[in-house]
Amino acid sequence: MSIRLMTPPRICALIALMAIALYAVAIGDRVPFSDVPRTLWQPNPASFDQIYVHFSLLPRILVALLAGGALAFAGAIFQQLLKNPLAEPSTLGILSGAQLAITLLSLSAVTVTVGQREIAGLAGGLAAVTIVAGLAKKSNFAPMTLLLCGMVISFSAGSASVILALFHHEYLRGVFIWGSGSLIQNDYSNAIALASRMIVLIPLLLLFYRPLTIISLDEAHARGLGLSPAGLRAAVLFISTLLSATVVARVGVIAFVGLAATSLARMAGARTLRQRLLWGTLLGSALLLLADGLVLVGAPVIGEVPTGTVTAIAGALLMLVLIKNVPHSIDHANTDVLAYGTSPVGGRHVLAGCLVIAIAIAGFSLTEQLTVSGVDPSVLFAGRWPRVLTSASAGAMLAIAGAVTQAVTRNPMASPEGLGISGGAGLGIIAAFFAGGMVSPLLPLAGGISGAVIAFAIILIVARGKSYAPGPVLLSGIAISALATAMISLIVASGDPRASYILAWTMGPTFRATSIVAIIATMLVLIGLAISPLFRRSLEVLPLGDSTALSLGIDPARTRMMLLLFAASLTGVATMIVGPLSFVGMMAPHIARVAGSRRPASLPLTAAAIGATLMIASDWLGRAADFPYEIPAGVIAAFIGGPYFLWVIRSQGRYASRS
Amino acid sequence: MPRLTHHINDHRLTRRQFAAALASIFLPVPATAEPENPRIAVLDWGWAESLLAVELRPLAVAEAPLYRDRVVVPALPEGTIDLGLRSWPNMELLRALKPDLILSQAGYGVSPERLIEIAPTLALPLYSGARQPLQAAENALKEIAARTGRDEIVKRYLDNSSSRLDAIARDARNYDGRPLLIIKFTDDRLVDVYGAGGLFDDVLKRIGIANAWDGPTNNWGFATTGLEAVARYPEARLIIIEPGPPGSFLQSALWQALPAVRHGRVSMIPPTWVFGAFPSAMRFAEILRRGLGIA
Repeated sequence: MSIRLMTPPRICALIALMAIALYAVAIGDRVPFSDVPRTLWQPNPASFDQIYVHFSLLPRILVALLAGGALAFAGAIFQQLLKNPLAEPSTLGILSGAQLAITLLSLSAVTVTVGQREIAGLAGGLAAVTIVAGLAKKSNFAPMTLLLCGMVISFSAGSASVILALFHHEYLRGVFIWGSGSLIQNDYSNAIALASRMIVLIPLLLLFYRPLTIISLDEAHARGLGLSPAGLRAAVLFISTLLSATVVARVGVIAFVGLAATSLARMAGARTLRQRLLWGTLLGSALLLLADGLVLVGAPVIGEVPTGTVTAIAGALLMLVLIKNVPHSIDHANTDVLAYGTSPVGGRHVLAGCLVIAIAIAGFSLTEQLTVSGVDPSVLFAGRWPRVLTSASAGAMLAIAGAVTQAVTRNPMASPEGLGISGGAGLGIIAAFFAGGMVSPLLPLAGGISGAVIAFAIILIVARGKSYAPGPVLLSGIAISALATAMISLIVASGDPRASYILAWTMGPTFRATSIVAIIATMLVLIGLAISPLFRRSLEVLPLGDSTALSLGIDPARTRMMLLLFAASLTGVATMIVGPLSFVGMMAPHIARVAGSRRPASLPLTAAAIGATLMIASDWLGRAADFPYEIPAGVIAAFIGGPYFLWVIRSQGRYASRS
Repeated sequence: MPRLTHHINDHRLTRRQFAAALASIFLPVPATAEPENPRIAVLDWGWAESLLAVELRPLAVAEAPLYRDRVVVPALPEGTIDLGLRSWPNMELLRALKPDLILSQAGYGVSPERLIEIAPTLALPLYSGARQPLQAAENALKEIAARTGRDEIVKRYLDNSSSRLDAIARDARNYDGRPLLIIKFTDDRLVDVYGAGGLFDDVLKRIGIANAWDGPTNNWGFATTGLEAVARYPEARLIIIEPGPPGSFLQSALWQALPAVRHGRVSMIPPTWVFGAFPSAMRFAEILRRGLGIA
């Protein structure tokens, strides 16, 4: 396609025309052409169709235009400010943060007004962006660190929402309908509210236009002009978050529109900030209008699908395509941290100590009678050993996978859950439920495994052109996980009573483990441990950089693929058992390193022992904390792992600034 | 608008008042300290209310606190043990209780194979591919009765219910015959409409009132849709299951333009458990009779 044909105005006009055509179909379906002008200005109150077009479809068009524009404008500002082409409200965690805050509000109050929702959304969005920016600041807003922080915050907030839904889905349905981003309107209130906020916030952001262009040139230069980069950054972040949170509160989570619009504008040749802001915003409006038009016209055929779900699906696919534009290099500050840890304790002692602790906790968990009484200990043991063994195996698998992933990506914060395998497994489980219902527990298991395999295949295909470099692999993971989150929202919103069952399945509760599952999982861990020495040399050499590896006779691309395949298989199996987000794969190798086990030969073993300990403890806590309700062990681990992750990034930032 | 507001106020009993009133009519006082009351653990609320209807006290019910909030009547006796989530009950607690019988809904939650390891299990279909929940609920009652030796009581209960439904069907002949659109607001934009495959639809068929909704429905017999779909049935009478939409929405032009609202054909009825079994069906029939004023 010739570059000259694809100018921003032309693309914008093309998308807008398609969207208008779709709306014309929807309106023409209701009102004869001759009545359209009258319907637009003064509908006949006796005609429901005219009233519907005037009070539902017209405001819907306005809301799509305004929300799409606002998200794209905020996205363009974020990208300029953070020098990151993939920054936008959803990748920075703002949308998930706002959603979690609003979900919490809905559980604590009987009725929630739109105003309250807006304040809660703002608070949640600000909290998310503050954490993300605060963490990324330590690494000087390096693109990968920023996205990784955004991803973790987004995952954590998203999974917290899912946990709330697991226990309260009866009450939260309305919240999830809103959260999945439906643009259906019943009057002009949302359109007016959005417009009035945008009229204030967008000019306010444009006041920073010149400083923003300078900051993009050179930070030292900006400081020379007497600007405080920190103050400027904080102010712009605050106002852009305000803008994004307003949209979330009014129409729910509409992910990736900002990203899609700005990327499209850039591809069409919008080079300067001014061009990106103008055409990005217009494209954002046009794109959301198009997505909504498709949903509207498709509704009689495929049923009521929230527009936010459509943008999440389209956006995740788009993200997979866009990954080739991400800078190839990773954050070099991180590399050193792989040699982190000054504990005098030797690797072997650490391993022995971990094993003792693991066995002690397992023994306690197998025999305690704190919650149930009057049961023969042998019966308790018979019911408990599968779950304890399964938890331990899953923890060990994630830990080994984590040790490998961190070495391959040269990033001590990398988590195998971020590979997208977990998201794929979750999507597979959901698909299996809708294909075959709940007839057999084997079906979702098969679905999960196929989902994990497909997700991994997609990642390999996307990352192949980049010789399986760390950045693209992690970003593919983000995209697939975002897709899984959107589908889960959709299920809760559907009001299907099976929602809680499916949610429990995707969260991976250890309490469903049977003896067969436990034995298979244990065997897989043993196989994994037996294979891992084969990768010793690769794990030693890869962190030294590609050129060193080549000079030592190791093909970095092929080695990385092999290692990723190994990590992905372990992660896929573990996800089936403990769910998508446990952070154990990130935590366990890190703790092992801090404890002094640094040699690639002993690290996977020690990490496996620590991972097993963490999961056995989480399984017991999940069983006892809210008896008789069982909290999935993966969720408990995530509650420990989230704060641990934040702590690691903080200490790592300190380390980086010292060096 | 005054007309609709009037309607709403008319029926605005609180759920609990209503529950108490209904309970006094329908529920035989549970016999205290009945010696041969079998120890039954119930994983589905439909079977919990069915047990209560035939004068059996369940030992334990999954999500018992939420049952008190959502199903309300027949009320669970004090001291009913909470078994955890309906979809994932606490297996250890179940084992510790050593029940004589476990009742679950076929195709939902833990598979019967795993429950049978703990105690004899009846996994009865309710919302299934057969899409006839009322019939399934009646069959289930009979099966539970056969299993617990309550055939007499169940027969009496079903006979009474049947003659009650016949009476309501007779009264329904005085009704103007407009088809009903039974909806429940999920938020202020989308509604659930109850149609084929749902309990309410079966009840309507039984008492001879047409259900206006002829669109597709899911496994549980409802469809989620915007208000424009409601407008597609201009002749229908709108039955709104409380809680209705927020008051401001009732004033909106869109709501006011709905044919049923314009002609004052809207009734609010107190909530009934929408995924329930036989007692829920009976309750819905009685509530509808009052809501339509056909007695």
